Amino acid sequence: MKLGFSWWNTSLSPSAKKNRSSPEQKMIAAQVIKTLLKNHSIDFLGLGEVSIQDINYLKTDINNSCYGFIESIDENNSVEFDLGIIYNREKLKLIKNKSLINSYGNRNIKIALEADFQVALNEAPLYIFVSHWPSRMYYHEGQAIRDGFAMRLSGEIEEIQRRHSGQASIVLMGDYNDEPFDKPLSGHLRATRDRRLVRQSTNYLYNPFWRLLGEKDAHVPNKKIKTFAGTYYYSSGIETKWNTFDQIIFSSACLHGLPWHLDEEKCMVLDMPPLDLLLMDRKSIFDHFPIQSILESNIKE
Amino acid sequence: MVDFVKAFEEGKEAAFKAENARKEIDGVFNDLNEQLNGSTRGKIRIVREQLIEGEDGIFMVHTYPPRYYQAILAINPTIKKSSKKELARWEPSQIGYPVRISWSNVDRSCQDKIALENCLVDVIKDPINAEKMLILIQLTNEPDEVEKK
Repeated sequence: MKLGFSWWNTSLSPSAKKNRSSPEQKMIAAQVIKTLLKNHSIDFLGLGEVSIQDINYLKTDINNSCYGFIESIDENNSVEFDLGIIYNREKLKLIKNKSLINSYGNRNIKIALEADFQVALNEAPLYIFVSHWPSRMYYHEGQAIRDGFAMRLSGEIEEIQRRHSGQASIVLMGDYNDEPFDKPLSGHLRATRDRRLVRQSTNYLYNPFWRLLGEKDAHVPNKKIKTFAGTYYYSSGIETKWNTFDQIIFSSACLHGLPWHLDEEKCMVLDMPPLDLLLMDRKSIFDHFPIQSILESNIKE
Repeated sequence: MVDFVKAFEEGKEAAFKAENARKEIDGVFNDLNEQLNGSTRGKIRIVREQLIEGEDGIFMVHTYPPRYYQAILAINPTIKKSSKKELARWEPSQIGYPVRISWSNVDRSCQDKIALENCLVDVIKDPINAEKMLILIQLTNEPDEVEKK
């Protein structure tokens, strides 16, 4: 049995510009999402920068009762949640979902939308945390509040691991507005590149997106290849226009086959059309590629 | 040489800070109760208590050993033996802040007094919690039943 995971920051409704997308842009987004669900066999799709209107549009457009929808959107902006989830009801049974929030004075900051599932075939629990952390422009690198995002997430994971003697299947995904090497992810969350370390200790998480930091294709003399070097394109970037802010991260159990095994060859940035052209188009709202990861198990479907 | 005196002084300061934070948190609940007391004619009081996991109204599914948790409850103090309604789970911290409050499908970590006040406002105005409190207000002094939710 396989479980396909994907995350995409849709850019349809960022907190500052809710419902900014045109009907054409909504159609493009719906097309990308349908391609993910059907052609890429995605069973769990986390969506960022979506509004209630966007989710309702997608529900109508997808029009398939085998998909369940979860939204964690605050339309009053008291908490800037802008997340949605689409999941395959035939494979995943939703147990509960909750929004994790850190409150500082009058500011409420989204940490994650936690969705707890049971895998339909064997009833094994699966914990998924979907995040869209604030931009580094608002909470800059090294600021205690920013470190607090990862610390809170790490605390939640520790709690689940305690209940499951360190063998919990946990998947984290989202646009962290931090690279894999930034301190919140690599330090506080302990999402490492080192598989051996993760296999040895359940205190670590494995972040396969360390492998996807650079240019997709190698440079070849005298051959100009149009390629990308991350998941997010920011045309005003100074040191780089590309960042790998979108990542899917796994708990130790997913490297032990308990019962899921990460199929790392399928961890990838999906530079799918028409996003491959739209990302670098200044007039386009789209600036993130979707990403995907696959978990495999011996359970027969 | 290791400076144990400095360490002790730092520890002492942290303990004072924690004590002050705990007093501040108690103060927030006192303010809340003072206001609710006025608007409900003394029929709603918010308390923090330890409960046993799995104890759910009529059906009690105790775990062994029993697992305890703290909760924010509403009671009607005008009733002799008032029912208690759980409004939210409450997780204090040994150092005062953050405190964690979870209800419905929200889990909020409050890092300071204003955050705690705002969060309690949201707990109180939650429609399900408001309904629980309305039930308590309507109670009269009849034989009580212990109810958690």
